[in-house]
Amino acid sequence: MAAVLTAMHVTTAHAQPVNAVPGRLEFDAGIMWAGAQPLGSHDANLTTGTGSTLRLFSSTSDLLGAAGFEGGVAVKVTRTVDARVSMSYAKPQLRTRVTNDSENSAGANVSEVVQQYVVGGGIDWYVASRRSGARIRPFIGGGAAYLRQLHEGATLVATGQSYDVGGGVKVLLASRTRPRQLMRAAGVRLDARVVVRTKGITFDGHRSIVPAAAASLFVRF
Amino acid sequence: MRRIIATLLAVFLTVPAEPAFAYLKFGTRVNGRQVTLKWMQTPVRYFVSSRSAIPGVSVDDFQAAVGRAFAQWQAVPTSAIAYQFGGLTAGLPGEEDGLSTLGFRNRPELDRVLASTNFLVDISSGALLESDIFFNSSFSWSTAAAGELGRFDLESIALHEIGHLSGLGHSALGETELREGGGRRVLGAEAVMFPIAFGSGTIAGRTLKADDIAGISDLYPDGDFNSSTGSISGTVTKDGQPIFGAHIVAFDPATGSMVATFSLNAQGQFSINGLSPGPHVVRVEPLDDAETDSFFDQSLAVDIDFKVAFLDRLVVVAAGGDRGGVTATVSRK
Repeated sequence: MAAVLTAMHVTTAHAQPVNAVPGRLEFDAGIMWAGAQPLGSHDANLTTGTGSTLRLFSSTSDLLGAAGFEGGVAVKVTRTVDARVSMSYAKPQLRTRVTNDSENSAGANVSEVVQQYVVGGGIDWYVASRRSGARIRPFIGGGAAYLRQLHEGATLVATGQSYDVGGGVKVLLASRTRPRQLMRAAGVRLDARVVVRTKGITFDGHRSIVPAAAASLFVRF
Repeated sequence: MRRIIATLLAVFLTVPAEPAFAYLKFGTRVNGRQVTLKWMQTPVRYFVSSRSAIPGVSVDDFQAAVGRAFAQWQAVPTSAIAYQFGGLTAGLPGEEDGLSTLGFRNRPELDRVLASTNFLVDISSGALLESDIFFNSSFSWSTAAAGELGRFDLESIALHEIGHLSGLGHSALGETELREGGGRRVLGAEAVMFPIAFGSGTIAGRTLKADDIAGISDLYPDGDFNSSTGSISGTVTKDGQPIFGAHIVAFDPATGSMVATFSLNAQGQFSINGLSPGPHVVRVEPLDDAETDSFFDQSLAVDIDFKVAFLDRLVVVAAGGDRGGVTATVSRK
């Protein structure tokens, strides 16, 4: 029993302290960017007399990377964990590149603008870092979201799910510790994520993985 | 009752009937208005001529091969067309006997016609009364499962002709090249309703394609066809003027399937029905100059003096909706 207690004590002594972010409720708003999502390639093929194919032209489609807006509300759950709900809006271009046309060597880029909404929730877990100073709070997190993509003219909707993991930092620009002040902290939130999308606009039915990043201002109460 | 017979020769020859607006369906004039040629009642009863045996193909072989072709059209899940074998008849195709008859006839003078379909139409109502298909026995034919070298596949050609019998015109989804000694050779086709047959020995024409399925479903829609698919409509212009006879292809980049039509009136209007929901690439091309009479009457001025062009926007098709107002602009060669 004595040996166990000693070991626990040693471990605790070497852990980095995590400074809690002041305040229980956080609002943030800012800009986000999501990377391009390859949708695959298909040829426009004719069938030959032997049953093989004769290409009329080739096509490669991508949902291009796009910047947008993002906002969220976070609630302090424990000293080191916030639960956050967020929403983002972007207008990526769905582009199909046509190449190798048998009669038009110039090919073409044809596109439409997609309206993309992502609404979801997740967890931010503040972690200790030797490099973080008093104003910087590194965190890692993850979440799940509902994905809604409207084709041009809002005539067709594709829905799916979006899962993300990543991390970032919150940089405190102002922090107040006196108990009677409503606003407890304000700062900048920067994060980078890996996003896995299922369904939504997909040509092959496969999951897609895209990078994403966001920068926002936050206030905590 | 006033009747006329409009003979529609399917392979190599012209289609004299007037094309209906959407897709390339057969149409005819009834009391001054355009009516799509189609069967008003199904199942369509067909008969096989008992005089249709030729070397290498018995009447039973013939009946089985055309039966498979009829079954394939009938199996299209989004189409309500149905056919029923009525039995053998001593008559021959082309005889005005009230029976839709399929069989061989020896027509050596038609040296580029493998088969043809004709119709008996009540011009007071536009109703189809009879449609016969003759296969030219001056060619060599086969019903072998894997085809036979030097013989045309009866099932493939029957599949094409039954498309005509059902009311479909020709599709231009294919490429050909001039052949030494005259005629054209098919390099590839993506529609059974392409007007020129593959060469002998191949069975590549035994399978319906997306364009054929869209066409038959457009003529005889069934189930949720109209609510589960959509359409694109618009006009094709050159130098600010509408053009007739431009070939418009809707390509689905998600699946690679193609469905096509033509601009079919003086206003350059087109309509492509039976498209899967989602974005489509629209490609406009001229018909090959040697092919225009396979699709349109020679009296119609088909514009072929323009370059292949793509619409610069993806055209999004919604289920049950029409994406109208699409304007495709092409430029002179």
